[in-house]
Amino acid sequence: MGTLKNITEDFIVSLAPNSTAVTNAKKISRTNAFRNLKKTDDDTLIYGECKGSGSKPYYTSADFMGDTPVFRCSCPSRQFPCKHSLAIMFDYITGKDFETSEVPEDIAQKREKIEKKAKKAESTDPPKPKKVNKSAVTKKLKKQREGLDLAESFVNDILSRGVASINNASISQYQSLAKQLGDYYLPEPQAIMLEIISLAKNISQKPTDRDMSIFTRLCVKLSVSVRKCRDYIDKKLESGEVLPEDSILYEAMGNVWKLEQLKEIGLYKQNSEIIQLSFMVINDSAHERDTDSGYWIDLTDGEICKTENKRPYRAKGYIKEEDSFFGVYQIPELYRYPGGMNRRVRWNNADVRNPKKSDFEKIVSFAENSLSDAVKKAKNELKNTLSSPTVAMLIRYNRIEFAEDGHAVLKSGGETIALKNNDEHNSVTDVLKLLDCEKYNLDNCAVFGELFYPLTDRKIYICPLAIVTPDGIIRLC
Amino acid sequence: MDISLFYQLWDRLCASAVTGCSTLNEDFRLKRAVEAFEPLSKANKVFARLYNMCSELFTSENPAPLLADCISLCDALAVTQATFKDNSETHENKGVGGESRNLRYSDLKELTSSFTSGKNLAPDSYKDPRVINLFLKNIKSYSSLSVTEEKYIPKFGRSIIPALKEHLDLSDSKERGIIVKYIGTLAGADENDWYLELIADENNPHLVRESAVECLAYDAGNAEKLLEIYKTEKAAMKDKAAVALIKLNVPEADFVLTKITSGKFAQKNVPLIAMSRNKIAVDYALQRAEETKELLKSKSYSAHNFVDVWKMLANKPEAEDIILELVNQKESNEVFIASICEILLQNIAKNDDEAFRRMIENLYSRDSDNFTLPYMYLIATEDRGKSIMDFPDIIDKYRYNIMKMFTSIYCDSDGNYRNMVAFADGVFYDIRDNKVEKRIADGKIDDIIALLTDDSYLEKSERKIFSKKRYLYYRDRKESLAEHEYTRKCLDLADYTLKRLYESCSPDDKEKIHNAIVDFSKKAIAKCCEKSLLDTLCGLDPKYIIDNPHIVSDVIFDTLENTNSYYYSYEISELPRDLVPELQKVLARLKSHEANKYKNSQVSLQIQVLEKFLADAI
Repeated sequence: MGTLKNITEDFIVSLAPNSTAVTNAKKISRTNAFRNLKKTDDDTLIYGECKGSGSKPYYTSADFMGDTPVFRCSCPSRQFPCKHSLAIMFDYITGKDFETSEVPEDIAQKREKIEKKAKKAESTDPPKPKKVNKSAVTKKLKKQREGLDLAESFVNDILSRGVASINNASISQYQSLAKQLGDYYLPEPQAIMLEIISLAKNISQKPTDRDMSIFTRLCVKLSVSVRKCRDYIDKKLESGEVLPEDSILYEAMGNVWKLEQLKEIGLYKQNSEIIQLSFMVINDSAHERDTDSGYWIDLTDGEICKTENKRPYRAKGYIKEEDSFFGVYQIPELYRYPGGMNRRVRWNNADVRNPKKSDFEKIVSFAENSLSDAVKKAKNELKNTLSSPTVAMLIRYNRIEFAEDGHAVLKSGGETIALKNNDEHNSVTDVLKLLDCEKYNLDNCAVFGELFYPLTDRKIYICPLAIVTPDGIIRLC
Repeated sequence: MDISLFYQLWDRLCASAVTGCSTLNEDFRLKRAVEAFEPLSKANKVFARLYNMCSELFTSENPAPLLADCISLCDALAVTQATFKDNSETHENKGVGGESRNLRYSDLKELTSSFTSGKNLAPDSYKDPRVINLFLKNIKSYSSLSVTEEKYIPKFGRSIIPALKEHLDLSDSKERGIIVKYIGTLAGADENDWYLELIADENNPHLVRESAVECLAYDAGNAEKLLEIYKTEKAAMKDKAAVALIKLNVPEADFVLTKITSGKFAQKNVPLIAMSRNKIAVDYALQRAEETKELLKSKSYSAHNFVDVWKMLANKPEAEDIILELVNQKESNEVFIASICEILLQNIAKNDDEAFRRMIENLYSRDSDNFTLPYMYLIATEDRGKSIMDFPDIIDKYRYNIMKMFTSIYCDSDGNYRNMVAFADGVFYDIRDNKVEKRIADGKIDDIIALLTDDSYLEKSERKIFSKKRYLYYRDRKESLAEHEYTRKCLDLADYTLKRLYESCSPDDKEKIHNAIVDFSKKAIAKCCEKSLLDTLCGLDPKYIIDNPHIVSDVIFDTLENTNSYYYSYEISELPRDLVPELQKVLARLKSHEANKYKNSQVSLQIQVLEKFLADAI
């Protein structure tokens, strides 16, 4: 972590537990609640007194001495960082007066403690890896194996009867079956079952082809998922290698990766720098959650990855909401989930800096040069039943033009592909059409978008999410 | 290789999932599709595998998982077989001037509701193509409100015209003509050829054609065409043509006016006669005015009945003398005078000509008492060689009325200040539907700010009854408003208007307006403990309130003293936390005997609010 000079509004917002904390912090800053604002000469510490109720103020500080900032505040809030800690940083970036002063004694003592601890950790043997209880893991796998049989009986029953023959009586049976699956550590197959049941309930007396297609695909997905997970578990039990490995099936059963697990199996990168290409919030009623979903590109190697911040409805207000981000994250350790393209990523700590022109030029240089190659890579991913129905890629192009019916066509080295909206982004091509083509020279740039294959059309399209020029990223959503 | 047989097989497999694989053996269509697929299975290994799996379906004891696997394999094959080439004829796109802004997702999410709420956005936001797109979608949605959209149209500027045209769906018989109107507002006569095209095609939606006829009024060259439409069309098209001709004030309008000023038609066509400057309309209006003079003398007739006459006279510089006569006739009254002034004022926004402006100036110079408002509006919004602040006595007398004319000021995306004026036909009107926009001349905004931030009236201590000459919009007329109540109304109005102006002003003016508001609020609050001023200062200069904490207690107690409602207290959630000690003192005072002189319900409510604030401040 560098000095205070690295702080931007984006950085502060990224630290906040939720948008309400940001709003409250801005209010505190705007109402000049802080007094005696001070900073150290080396710009690693800011502190001050914030008026609260009662006669004594809260003592708040933001310490950027170590690898990660340390926030301290005497307020009784359990949120971390609290609104006062965020507010003092807002005070700093809005240019309020911070008198240069010494490090207060209590903070100096705490810093000393941290330093001693760090030195001790360096000098002693590395901590022993946590012992995993293999027999517990084996027991869980066996339980999951049993549950998969239940899930299989569910989907086989539906496919045998036919999706059109599901009635209220069968729905209530299925609901009870889905509920049982909760006892078998299979939340993901359970969620698919619940989605199938919900769809069955809502399909009208005259369902459309589209309704039936979605329904059938869900059943197929569940069936394939059950079979693959069952084979996966059988293999593990047979070999005795019960610990999780680099496989999407671990999550397909509903298990949740911990960052240390990912690190243990080598799924992490060091010293990445990522910049966001697009962001949106997806409402997933099947899983009863909102997902803050961002696509990012790693400036060190051009990998396009994804962040997914899942916020169950029932936990609304307790989980930090994310938002668009315009800075560059500098991440010492970037953890990558198993998968093919567009892997999900997470991190614990990161610095923030403002993007430079050279970053955008770099992004364009990472783009796929050949449309055919890009489509081929996308097809390899899209054909897997358990993979995402879209693949996000960055593709170079020469021009974007529009057809008579209004749809956009991307032209790249003699090849063409249509740009169309998809289910999640239903007006991005309309936005593209509104861009000022005189101001922005959009020729010979790169489009960032999701390649997808709608079943009815039998063609592959790109849903454009951003245009990347050497000067910046133009977001379309 | 023709793989249509593969797609047919795929379709049949999906159909089997729908009907259920328990009846697979009777599914002859699937059997046929599998058989037909056999030749293709020799083409490659994957097709062969698919064929084998499908054949097994008919013999398997448990075909359900196998069916799922077949469909899954077909889906994968379909992806690998998919093409992507697009052979459409294409053309360049110029865009509509959309410029990317770093708007966060959370900002855009708010915008979907902003357009219907009429909320002001930062001027810069309107350039973002995502914002433009949201607006265009809003026009098409059922929640669309034309009066709200009209306010936003100038903010987007002319560059949005191509996008508006694209959104016009001429194949939809219910298509509203409002998009054509918006384009007319932005482009005027420049789109004349397009309006004529829309009218020429009789298959176009009727509302679209009607709006296009209206837009022909931007170009005098359309006179002949309009007359032809008037003579040949019926109902709304005919009416719109009449309006357009009259607006143009061309010789062709004589035909229309001769008809509508005769006999029974005149009553129905007052608005047309009102807007016309044609000699026929003028003569008719003057004739009606003379009749009015005589009828007024009859006791059975009240001034209230002559709104139509006012409408007809108000747009005609030739009517200057008769207007004066009617206003000063002893039978005329305040409502009467208020009506004519309202119409004159609104017509400033709708008339560009010098003759009309001279009429207002002349009326004012001949009878300043009765014609103050239209004159003040004229010199405040246009460069007439005078400033509104040159008339301190007039302002002092009619302050509230004058300020009220500017409550809808805003700054468009090109940095021009505009004011929405309610266009009324007279005393009774529905302003939701009738609003006229007037551009304020460059430099004039400073006069209006000076008016709003003038604090000289706060010195007055004499309490007098509201003068009968202080005519207002009828709804707000108060017979006996005490001076201090009037002062508060003025303060509140000034504060409200200044805040709106600050929200939408151009970035170049932000600091100037900020300083003006803060200075005014400080001076005003020292003389009058108006709560809206405290809110303003907390938002724009909280340090001042922190340095002068007594202001808060003054406002709270003033609110208790002067608010008539039993259930109102001063809302303090935006106060700086530094004021906690002061608020604790206020709380103590409210709980003491000192509070006995106020209404119990108000005191209790205020105590509740204070206690909650103090608890949350932890």
